[in-house]
Amino acid sequence: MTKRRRQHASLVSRSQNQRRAVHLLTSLLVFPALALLLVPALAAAQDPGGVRLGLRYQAEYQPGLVVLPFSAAASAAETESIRGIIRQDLDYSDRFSLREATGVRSGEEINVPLWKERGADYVVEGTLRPRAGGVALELRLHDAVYGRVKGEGSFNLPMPGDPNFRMAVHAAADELVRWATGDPGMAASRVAFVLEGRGSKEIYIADYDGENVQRFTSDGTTTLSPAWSPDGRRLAYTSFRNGTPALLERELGSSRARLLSDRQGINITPAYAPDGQRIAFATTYGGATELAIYNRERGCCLEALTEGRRFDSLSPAWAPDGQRFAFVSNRLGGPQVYVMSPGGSPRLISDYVYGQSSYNTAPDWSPRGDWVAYASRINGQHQLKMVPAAGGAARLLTNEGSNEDPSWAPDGRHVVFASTREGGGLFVLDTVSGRVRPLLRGRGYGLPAWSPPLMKASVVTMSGGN
Amino acid sequence: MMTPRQLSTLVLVVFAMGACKKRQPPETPPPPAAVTDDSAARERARADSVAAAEAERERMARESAAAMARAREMLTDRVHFEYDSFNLDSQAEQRLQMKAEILRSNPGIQLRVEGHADERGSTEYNLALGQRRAEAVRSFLGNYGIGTERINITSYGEEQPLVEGSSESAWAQNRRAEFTVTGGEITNPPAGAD
Repeated sequence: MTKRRRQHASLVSRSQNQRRAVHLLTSLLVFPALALLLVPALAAAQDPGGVRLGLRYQAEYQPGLVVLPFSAAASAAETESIRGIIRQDLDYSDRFSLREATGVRSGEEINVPLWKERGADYVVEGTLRPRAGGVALELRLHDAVYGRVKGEGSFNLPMPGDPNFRMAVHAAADELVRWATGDPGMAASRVAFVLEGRGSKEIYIADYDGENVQRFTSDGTTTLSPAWSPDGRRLAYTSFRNGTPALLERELGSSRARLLSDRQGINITPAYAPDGQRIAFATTYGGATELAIYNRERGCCLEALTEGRRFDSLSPAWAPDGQRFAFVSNRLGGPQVYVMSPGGSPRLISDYVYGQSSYNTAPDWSPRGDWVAYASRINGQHQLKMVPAAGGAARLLTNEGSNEDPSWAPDGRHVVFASTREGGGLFVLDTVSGRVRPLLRGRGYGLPAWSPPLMKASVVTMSGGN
Repeated sequence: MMTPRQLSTLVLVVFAMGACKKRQPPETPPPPAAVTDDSAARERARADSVAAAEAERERMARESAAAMARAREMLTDRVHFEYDSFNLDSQAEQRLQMKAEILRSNPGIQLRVEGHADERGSTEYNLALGQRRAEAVRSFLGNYGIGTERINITSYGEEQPLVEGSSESAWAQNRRAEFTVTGGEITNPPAGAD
């Protein structure tokens, strides 16, 4: 009861934000140019919930990029499908503003300065050649601003129709992103998630672009919290197949799961340490839920990480250095996100206002090491936030629908999350530009987990890059 | 106290048990030793008393079946919780005290307690919350002298809602502990259970 009243009090204080939003709208009318930069803020003001939450996204300049038609000995359809995948990957990377390659025929001499005039800072040139067992894709990235080649290489792709074909093309696209920006891409990756069916929840895996959805478990029971091993070859997860939540692990190609822990009580929320051998998870100790480590190498040896006693600790997320982890604990009443090192003491990093009930869960540590994303309850719904792992002010990332369970992409820039927006589903958010795209739409999607990079481009010759 | 569904289940159980009793063949009276003048009258009186005893036995059996069924209902009555809480309110405590009494007088009974949460909040956190709820129930019963080895607990988090829907009432019904008898029979229903 007191909780509800407190929440009501915080609702009242948010009306100031509404006034601020109205003020923002007025200033937008005065400075139309500002309006373009503040589209996400405008979207915030249109929130049908009536409570305005301000989102602040960088108005990042996105260099123009054009992917020219590939010259090829292969069939036109094949060539266009490969170019289409690469073009979409570059678009989804949210680092470029894509230009149409209109009025160009394949095989024409490339006029880079002309493309610069037409708004392309980068020009991608591609050639497909047949090779034994597949095709060779030669890519060249022209920097139109400096008039030089920024990177080039030849990528061996399997035959179209091969199960690894799309992933190999994604890996080539990731290489283009790296040439252009020096940063890793995210196209050669997949997303594991839970989908609720009739009376059961099973784990599925989809490519990062929503293609190639495959069912992973068929236990006919409740299956939760898939976690990728750092090499992307295994998933650990929780299954109720024996009646109580136990921790299992399975290779991607295998149909046999290995039992890791079925201690009395619950065995939930696994997270592989970067070494791939230690798995942190939450289990029941003396009536409380505590974090422990299971050692894969030795197939045993529970090592307790937390001793909350009267409190619960769960949902660990390792830092990429494996020295620290974020987790959820309710030692302040409601669940909050903490960071600690094994043997150290927990440090609160999620927003906490003294005397107010708050509910922050599902942390995930960015693979680039600097941010922890989590879900925070605001006005009875959940919104994504990100906070510097070192502590500091949290940034609000979403304000449409209820949004939960963020998981970072390998590029450390995008997060996938489960949302009730637009009829529900899994969505991908670019934490830099604020752009959101649907991954899979529908009801019953949850607990997405983004894989590590699954394929390195097989580059035959390469030059350039950063 | 009881929902109409629970009540009708109870009535059905009582009815079914009564019906079972009736189908049992009545005990055959021993053959009369001698046939005299008033033997017919005596035989009638004897038959009457046999019938009365039979009826009494049936009534007792029905009542005892009802008491057992009622005890079973009390043992498996759900206990509900406030949002994001595993505190036992006075109604929950009352129900658990009754369970403790039944468990005490029927030491063979084993119970499974499942903690459940409503759909709001983190799926994973709700598993921990459900475990806390089940644990709160077990430790309450423990304080009433019930050995914790007789009570197996687990959590389903928000995975098994009792009622579908996203209303306050659905949430309230879904925040609960469920009880299942996993071993033993109720042989000694508490007084006042019928």
